[in-house]
Amino acid sequence: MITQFANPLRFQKLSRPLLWISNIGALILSLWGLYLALIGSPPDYLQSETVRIMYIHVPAAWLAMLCYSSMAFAALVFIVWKHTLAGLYIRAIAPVGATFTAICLITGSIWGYPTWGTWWVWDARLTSVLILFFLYLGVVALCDAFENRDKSLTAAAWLCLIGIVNMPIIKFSVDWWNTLHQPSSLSSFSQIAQPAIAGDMLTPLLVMAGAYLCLFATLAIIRLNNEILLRKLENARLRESRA
Amino acid sequence: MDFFDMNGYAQYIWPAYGTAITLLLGLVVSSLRQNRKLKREIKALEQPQKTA
Amino acid sequence: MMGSIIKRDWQDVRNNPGQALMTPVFFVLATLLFPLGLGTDPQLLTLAAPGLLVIAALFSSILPLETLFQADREDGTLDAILSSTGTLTFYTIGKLISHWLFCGLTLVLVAPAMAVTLGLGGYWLDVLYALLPATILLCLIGAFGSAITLGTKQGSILLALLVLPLYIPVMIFCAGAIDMIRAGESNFAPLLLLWAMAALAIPIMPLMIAAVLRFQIKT
Repeated sequence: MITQFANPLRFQKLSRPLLWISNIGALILSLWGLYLALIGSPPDYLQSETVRIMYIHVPAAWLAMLCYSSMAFAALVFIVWKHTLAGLYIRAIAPVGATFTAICLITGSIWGYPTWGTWWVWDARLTSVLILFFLYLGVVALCDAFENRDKSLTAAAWLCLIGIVNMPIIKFSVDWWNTLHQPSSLSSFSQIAQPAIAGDMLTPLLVMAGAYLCLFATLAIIRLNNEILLRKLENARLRESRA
Repeated sequence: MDFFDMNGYAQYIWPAYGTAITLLLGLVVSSLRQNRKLKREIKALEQPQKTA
Repeated sequence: MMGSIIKRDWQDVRNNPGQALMTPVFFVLATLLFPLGLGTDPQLLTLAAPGLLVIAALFSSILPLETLFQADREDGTLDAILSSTGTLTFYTIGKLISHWLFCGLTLVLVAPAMAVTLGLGGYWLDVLYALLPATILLCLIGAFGSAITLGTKQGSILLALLVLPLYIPVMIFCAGAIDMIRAGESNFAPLLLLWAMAALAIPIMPLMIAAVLRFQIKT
């Protein structure tokens, strides 16, 4: 199955209908989600209106982690099976993941000030997400570090693989250490069935998460196409300079 | 008006939402622009071959 | 193979001690400068000492990384080893051992003396215990960063960018371990974590580094 999707041309054909779906999904879900987040949901008992920041902070965190995990998977595929698309995917997606992580850090910091009284604290979750951000920057830098594009992508892939140890640390840091950050409310299936978070707040959260996911899909498709085009352009230029 | 005031927390909520939306839209815009630029350049590369 | 690499690096140290012993020398200089910067209030120094020691260890560990594999790559040693034996694993293990002996173990041995200058004199043994697994990890992670950025244009900045995020957990636990002893608590937990990380890293990292070096030379 992996070999079927490895063909760039096939991907380009598939990407057009997929792009339509994710565009429409992103539009609908984000408008609905923003409405719910800002107007259609109640303020928190303790945090008043600032809880609304949760609706853009938490999905950003989820996507930052999803993005990195997908990159690590692509890295594995690239290193082991040498699929071109997997390598291009890493280069395409790394800036997107970095952006989601930045949004998570910035909105989290803004949320932290009225809630905890501080813009930043060096607890386990915040520190490990910051590390995630630097890992993303490292991948972005590595993708262009060598003159040979394939070599750069392989190096970036290796970094992705090593950095995957950060993922469980981020996820479980609020369980393993006593931290200032709120423990997870949706971490197990029993919790999803009977969530520790109110339904009025769960809906906007999930809708925004869906919106973020569709946006991620859109960005992934456009940027992966860009990488394929870039490779085509570079090959064509190379051929021209030889001819 | 209470919507924009957010019970006094406007100085936190709007910058947060603003940053998130700006960054994400910025990504989308830059990706689309890169897409158009690449398509243009590939076309330009293929054109002289067609006329020649 | 491993033995010959270690022997060869030992010769390098004897011929050019300044270059090869960069790490402990820089560590000593850095820790000696901290009191000058912070003022000599002994209580402040003792409080800050665990973090300062670890930061100094970190920066001095990064110094030799850029040239770790560079010489061997440039004079063709890596190519020769790969084509004759087909694997870089033993070379890597030998190189890592010699790297740790000269840049990690030396740090561990020198650190207790530096701890005394920063006001942690009574805890010198704990400093040693904490730095032992920490330097192993710093060497392994650093060598990985060095291998990945081998031959890039902006080597050192990229190296620091890659290696520092991975160093941070090591730093946190090592400083935490020393600090807990200073505060009178048992530092079993961070020490255990450090050794657990080292136990994971020691079998895995040499193989990964060898694989990275391999693709570096092949392309």
